[in-house]
Amino acid sequence: MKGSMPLWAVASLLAIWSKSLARARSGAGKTQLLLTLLLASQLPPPHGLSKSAIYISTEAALATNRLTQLLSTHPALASFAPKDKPSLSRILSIQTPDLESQEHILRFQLPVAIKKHDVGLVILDSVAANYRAEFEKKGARGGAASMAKRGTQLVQLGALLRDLARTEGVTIVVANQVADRFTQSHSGFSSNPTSRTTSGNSQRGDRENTPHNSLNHPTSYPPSQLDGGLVLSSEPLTLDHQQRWFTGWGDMQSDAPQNLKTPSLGLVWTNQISCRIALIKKPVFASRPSILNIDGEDRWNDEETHISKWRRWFKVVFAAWAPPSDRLGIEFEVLKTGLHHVKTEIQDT
Amino acid sequence: RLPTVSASQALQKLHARGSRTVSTGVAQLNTILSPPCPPGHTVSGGLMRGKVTEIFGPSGAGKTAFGIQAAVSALREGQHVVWADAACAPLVPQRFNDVLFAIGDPLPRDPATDVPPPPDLSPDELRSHFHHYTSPTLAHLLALFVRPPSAFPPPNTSLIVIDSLSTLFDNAYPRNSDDRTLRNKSDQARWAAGRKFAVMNELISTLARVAAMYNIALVLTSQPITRIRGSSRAVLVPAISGAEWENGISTRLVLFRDWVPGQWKRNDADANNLRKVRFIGVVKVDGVTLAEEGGVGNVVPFAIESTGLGGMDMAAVDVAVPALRQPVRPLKRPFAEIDGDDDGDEDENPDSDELYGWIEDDEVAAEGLV
Repeated sequence: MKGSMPLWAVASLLAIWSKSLARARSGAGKTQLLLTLLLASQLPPPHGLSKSAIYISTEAALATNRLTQLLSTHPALASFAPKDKPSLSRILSIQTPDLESQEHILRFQLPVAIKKHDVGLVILDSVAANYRAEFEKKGARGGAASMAKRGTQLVQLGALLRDLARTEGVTIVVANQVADRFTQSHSGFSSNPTSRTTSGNSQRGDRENTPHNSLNHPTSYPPSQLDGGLVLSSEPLTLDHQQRWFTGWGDMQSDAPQNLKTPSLGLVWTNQISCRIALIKKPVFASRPSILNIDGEDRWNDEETHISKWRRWFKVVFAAWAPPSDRLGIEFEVLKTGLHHVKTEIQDT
Repeated sequence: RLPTVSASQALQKLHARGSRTVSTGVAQLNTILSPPCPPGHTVSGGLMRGKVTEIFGPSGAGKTAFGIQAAVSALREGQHVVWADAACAPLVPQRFNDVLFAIGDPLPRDPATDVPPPPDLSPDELRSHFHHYTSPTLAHLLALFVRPPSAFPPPNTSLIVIDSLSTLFDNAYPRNSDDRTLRNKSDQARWAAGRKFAVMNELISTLARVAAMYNIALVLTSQPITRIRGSSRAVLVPAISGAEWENGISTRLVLFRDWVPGQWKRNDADANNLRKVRFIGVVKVDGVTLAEEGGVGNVVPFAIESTGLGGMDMAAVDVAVPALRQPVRPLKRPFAEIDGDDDGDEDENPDSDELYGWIEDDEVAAEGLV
């Protein structure tokens, strides 16, 4: 049975004094989610914060048409009396086309606006855009230095936003983009964990395994073997492996490597945020017969498979105030009336 | 002349001060972290009081959860806890209370220890023993520890947790300031920027001193950074490093996640539990390094519930002799080969005897024991 998207779950996810990161592929529903938050934050608790909201955009202007549509058709929002209903007049928006203006606005104008307009929610859409544009300008030369400088700026941005959230008591949601993930194929470490049966005496087992492992990768560490039974991946602390869990993509062994995404701005940015939400999108291919009967003869169906629809999930990757989502998270769909929770009996990957 | 004290009197005094450790909530880990004790006595294991423990790991691995469990363990023993939120989201009261007021003591008490049973405290008393500080910048943290207010740390404190310390350093001393910003700074600003290691050293020696003087288990958490090992393979290492820093850290744990065989079975309660599994790698314990950078050392599985941390009953484990990983000895080339590198063949692979020789010796010696 379909119900309205648990806005309430979302709003409660965003505790005060926090900084969350919503990441998604294009078309995954990120903008819809952010727009919904702009409205929901105006509702009284427990649904919202009873406060205004600010939308800082680095790219497109605020989609006011869609906001109006949501306000009038979303079942949860439309049910409020006119005086309690959220309004567009309580949403401020500003565009920051480059890093310099972004820095100025965040550091000087934002605190003033928060106090003046009783703001509870600040959305920055998106954090990666201005950094990418900036360092593309510089071109290939000085590439490494640019990357290093960007790391420093991200750390400072993180501190700035964290301080703002803490001192002004606002919730800050930052949108980010994802890119395809490329893992190092020569690391000798595939997505399958090294399969090794447990040996009786764990001490001897380690030593027996060491020479074997050195054939694959001379400088790798001996596999970690827990006393008596469990076998871990051979090098659990590589970035490639651990990012399967802190990015939101790749934590399921069944994930095909070519479908994995990685959020922009890397580990440095991950270390700055206290909550990460991933909006995951997967295609559903139209089922088609593999063999067609053409002119009385059976032939392989050479038609290209096409995507019949997309499925979308809202996944808490990590949060300081909530446990991570199980598997892919909550499935939802984007309708005219807003985001709606899709409940299925069996959770398929 | 100093008064002499008999050995038995000294021992009594030691035990009269209460437990020497703070439980982590994971029995297997407590055992690995157990301090040495005289024969005939057993000491309940856990984080060692008087020493500094560093916990590092990526976001979401469970560092804060680990700190919460240790804090609750200390509070339940009637001790005081100091919690300093550094560069992280403020500790969420609901999350903390869920663990503090969870019904049931997960770890059975070992009757053989000399530690008196814990007092029965009301919720308000428990809360009053928890001292929460916010130190949003490095300067705040230094002020708190180097120039402490009176009655800091509070008496009977057995645990201090500093959550997300490494990011404070990155904020105060950016890693890669480019030349342009440095040139524009005044001389004084440039001097300040160069003080990073001096400040780091002062902080760690202060923390170690506070821990030792007040018999407190001091736990600090670190975010990871990447370091390239071998041929462009990036591993996660603690964000703060340095010789003096290393001297101040007595124990280091790495929290990480990994796949567990059988966790993707459907409709299986066990599979659900398996998905909650996290891992703690003991990479340094009581001053002894067990694994190099990027290694995970001695690994213990655990699970995070809303009621706190617990061990995972994955297999029957003999905990009497923890299997410590042999530290890898650096290769030594025979004396004759050190001179005369003009053959040009600098990367000759050592033969397996050289590489594994000493381990084989140990194998022979150990056979008698097994």
